[in-house]
Amino acid sequence: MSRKKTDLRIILRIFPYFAGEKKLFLTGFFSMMLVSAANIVDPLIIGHIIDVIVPAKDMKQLFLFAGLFVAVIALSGVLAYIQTIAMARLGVSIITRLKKDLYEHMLKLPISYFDKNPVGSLMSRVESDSENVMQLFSSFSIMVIGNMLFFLAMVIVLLFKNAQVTLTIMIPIPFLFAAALIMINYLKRYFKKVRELNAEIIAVLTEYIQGIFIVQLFNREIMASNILDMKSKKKFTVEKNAAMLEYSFWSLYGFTIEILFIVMVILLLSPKVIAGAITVGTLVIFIQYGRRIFEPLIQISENLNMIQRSMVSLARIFSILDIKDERVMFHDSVKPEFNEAIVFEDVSFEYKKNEPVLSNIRIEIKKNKKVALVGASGSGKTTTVLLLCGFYHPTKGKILVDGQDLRAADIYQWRKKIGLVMQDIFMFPGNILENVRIYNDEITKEMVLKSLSQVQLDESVMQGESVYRELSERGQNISTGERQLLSFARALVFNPEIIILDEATSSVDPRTERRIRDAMHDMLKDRTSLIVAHRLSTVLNADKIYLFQDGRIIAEGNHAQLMEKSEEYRKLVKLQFLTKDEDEN
Amino acid sequence: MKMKIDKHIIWIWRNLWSNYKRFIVLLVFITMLSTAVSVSYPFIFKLLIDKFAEIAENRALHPEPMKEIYRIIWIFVIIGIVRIFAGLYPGFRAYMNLVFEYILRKKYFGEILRKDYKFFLKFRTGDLVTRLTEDLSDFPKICWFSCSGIFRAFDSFSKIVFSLAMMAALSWRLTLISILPLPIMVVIFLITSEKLYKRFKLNQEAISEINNQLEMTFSGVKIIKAFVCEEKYRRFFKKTLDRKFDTQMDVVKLDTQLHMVYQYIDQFAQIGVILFGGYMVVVGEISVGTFFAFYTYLAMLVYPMLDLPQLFVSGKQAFVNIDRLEEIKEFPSTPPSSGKKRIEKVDSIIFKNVSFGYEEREDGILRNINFEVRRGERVVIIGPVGAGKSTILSLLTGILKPTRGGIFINGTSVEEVEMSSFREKIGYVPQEPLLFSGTIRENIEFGLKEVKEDAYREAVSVSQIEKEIEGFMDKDRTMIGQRGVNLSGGQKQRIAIARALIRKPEVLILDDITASLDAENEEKLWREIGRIFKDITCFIVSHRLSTIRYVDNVVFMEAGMLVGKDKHEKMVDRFESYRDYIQERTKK
Repeated sequence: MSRKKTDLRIILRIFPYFAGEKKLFLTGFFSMMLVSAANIVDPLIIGHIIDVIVPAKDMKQLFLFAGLFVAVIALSGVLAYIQTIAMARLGVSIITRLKKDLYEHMLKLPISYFDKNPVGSLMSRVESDSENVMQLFSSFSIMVIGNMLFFLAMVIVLLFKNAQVTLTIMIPIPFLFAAALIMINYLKRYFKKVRELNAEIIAVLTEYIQGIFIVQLFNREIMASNILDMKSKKKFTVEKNAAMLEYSFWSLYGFTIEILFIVMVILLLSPKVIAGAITVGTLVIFIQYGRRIFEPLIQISENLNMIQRSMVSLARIFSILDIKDERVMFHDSVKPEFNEAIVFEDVSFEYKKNEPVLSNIRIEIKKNKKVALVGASGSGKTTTVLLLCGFYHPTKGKILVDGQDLRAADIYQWRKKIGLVMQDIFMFPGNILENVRIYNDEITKEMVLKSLSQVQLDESVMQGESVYRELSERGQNISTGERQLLSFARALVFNPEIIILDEATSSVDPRTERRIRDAMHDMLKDRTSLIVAHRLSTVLNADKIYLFQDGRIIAEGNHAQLMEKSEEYRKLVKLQFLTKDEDEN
Repeated sequence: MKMKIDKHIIWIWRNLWSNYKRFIVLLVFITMLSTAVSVSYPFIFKLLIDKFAEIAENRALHPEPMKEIYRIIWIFVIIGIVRIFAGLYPGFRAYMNLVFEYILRKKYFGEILRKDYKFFLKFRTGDLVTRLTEDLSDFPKICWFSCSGIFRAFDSFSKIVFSLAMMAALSWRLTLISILPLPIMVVIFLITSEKLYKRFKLNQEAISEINNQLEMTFSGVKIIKAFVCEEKYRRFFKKTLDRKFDTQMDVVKLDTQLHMVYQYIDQFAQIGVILFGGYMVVVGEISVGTFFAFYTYLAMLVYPMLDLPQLFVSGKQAFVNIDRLEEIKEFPSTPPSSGKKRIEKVDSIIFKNVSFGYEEREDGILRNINFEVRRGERVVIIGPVGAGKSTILSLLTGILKPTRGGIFINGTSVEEVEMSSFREKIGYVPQEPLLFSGTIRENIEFGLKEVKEDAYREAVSVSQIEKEIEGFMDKDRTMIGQRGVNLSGGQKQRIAIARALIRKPEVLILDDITASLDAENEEKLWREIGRIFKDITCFIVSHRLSTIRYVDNVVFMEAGMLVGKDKHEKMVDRFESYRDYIQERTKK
């Protein structure tokens, strides 16, 4: 019962989408009514020919009725066309809007949402789910409503022809409806299971195709194939059973309707026809209508899987639209000003409850200073950076920018001040130009070229093909170092106030690193920078270094100070070859 | 155009039908049975109506009219029982669709698993997944079309033929009038079908474009947010959506127009029947029952007639999807090696005049690389960005193939080596640690059978991940991936190391793991490897000079060329560029 209610609520929520398309909807609805009316008329014409025209041998009337028939057909054809186009248009535009709304909403969702949901499933939320919904709201809904009306009209005509017989043959209808509903409900469970298994198959495919080279290198092609096979087989079995059950049921059902129903009509009407109480034409009308009376139900049931899928999809879409966006996370009012310092005030953070990643850290980043975070991997450095970008909120404590809580800031304005270079560099599909400006056409080609030359990447990466050189998925056709440099160019082209390099230096070889350091040196002079690195050589000249361990800061100061006072820091430095090198020099 | 259809039909026969001949025959039989049932209804109605006419005409000849009616009803019931069986056949069709889906997914996933890097440069993951899921299972795509679709067409066809046969038997003159419009239908179909195919393709392209945009948005969401480009992406997506709106409406319009024209044609045949049939009844040439039967047959023909072109339409769509599947298979991909020689023990690996480049230039990445590594030797490959370090590893593992020159294992060219036997000896740790959904332990074992507890413990402890695993609530049964814990980059990397080490490899390949392995862990790792895997041959790409401490020899690369290979101290003596490189790196 509660499920029914949620179903209803979901359907009600889609109505605003119809509201914008009133004209289309009314056009479709009207033409559908007329089509139904035309469909009602044609058995009546045949009945009339049999009962009146043939016995009277009235050729004139025959021509008249044939003409009438032509008119009815021509009209209903045009109307059916209008109806189909109007409904398709309605469906497609509703779904286009739904997709647009969904996409725009998703862009506003907090990063934590994207952490939890793999890209593949996000994609199918927008694309496949919306498409599923379309079927429900275009041709299908109209077909159902049309058939319902048709059913009503048929019953009325039959009642006029012979009320007693009509009422008698109506008796089994509620039972047949009930049986169908029970079956439909039973089958729902199967379909749900099939959908789940399908999602699993998608997950397996995505993972193993992404990890294909690992699979190949470890000679695990057969294993991968078997894992898919197992899931695939499971889905096959469930779906097969559902199909068998479904069609066996409808086969029996069809027998009941077509045979018993018509036999009933014949049995009830024959004595009357023989007695001359009703005409053969009436019998024909009964038979013709009788076979159509269950069409709506059969159509609904044939499309049951589709309806179910649409409802699930719609529910999923709305549940995403219900997720609060980032603007709720941040109060979104104060325009952030950064002139003095960013302060992490006793900040703690956990991704999962009771698994703290950061505990009570205090960091101060003064304007135009270079601050470095060092420490073992997994000690919370990256998380610190993500907090500063406003991707997450501290679980405890505050991040203050010039004394103003970041939580109260307009987060978009804040991010505009930041140039981020991430640990795993994401490459967009497309060419170098678009990858540097991330498809933001406010950034001109000249600006891109300039930033590329700032990181001294213009020659090597373009390979004589200019900025329009296409990159393959994940930038696999350029080296890791080049990718790294591209991501620097990306940060630079937006001319940020603050530059954040997250573990960026670690995958670049020393020579390139020096190249970047040289190139960035000038800019960092007038900028604030926060650098996360395992390697210490890049951060030696930092104004302040914070040493992280297990989510805490265990030491802070510049290189010289830390060398003096921190055992852990000395250990780290020693491990990195640095002491030895210093001796040599 | 004719050729195109033939090609796809042959594909369906070869890949799907030929293995299920008996089932296909059964389907043909049931389809005809179901047609027979449908076609018999109007005939029985004709009997019934004529019977009433007879009775009305001469009541005296029919003393017990109801008895005769009952006889007709019995025929009905018998046919109805046959119908129960025949009615199952959509179920059989669905069963077959599912079988097809299953075997195609298996087959083409197998194809994908055998592809080389070129393939994956061209095809994106999301796209491949679509081809193996939606393209197969959705209505009216490949699997639906290959069985349900074709059999529905056959069903329609046989209904048309049977009905026409019955009509001809009843009155051939009236039949002729009814089929007059048929040639017009064929002409219209031929004219429009090419157009439809084109529109479908455009629509399909628009869908792909949407998917590509979605993928790049969601994969790069952090960057998009960090640089506040949401607004741009919104506009971008809207444009794509608008384009799809148009392509989709184009398809719907043409489809509906076709539908309408066909319906008209059929209905005008019905008018012919009303006029001429009515006339024939009036003049007594045919009975009222025959007239009614004709009318019913024609009405019955509407749906099959509409269905047939519809099926060609969905056929076109399915054919596009079949092409997309075949594209996977046809994409040229050289197998890692066709050799037969098994590698039992790796004694030496030699690169001889190896060059490599992607499409544009055949030595664009590596030029004339020569070096030899012997059993038990540890080498670190260092050099500036873009020098081709990782490419050497990919060539070694057979992920890439040299465009010139050759790689020799124990003196045998890789081309003659059974690649899988060589790969069994390799422990590979990629730059970006890639793990799969499952438990930590499953990831480390990665399909290895009968792993001894000791071996597992050893791999985990050498990889410096033991303590962290113990720290998780479910220990090594902790799920990772989509529904599991979030591991840090370093943790993932060390699990990937354990995954390589548990196989007790003879050759260990580490592709720049310094990114997520801190100095302390690296030190421990090498100490343990030295202790436990004494004889292991190592190839390491590293940017951290400290790695030099743990290896025998250094390979120095610059701009796609190998400068030299020797001990660190000797390299410093021998090569100025190496000296500069090291100095530049260590200078303050």
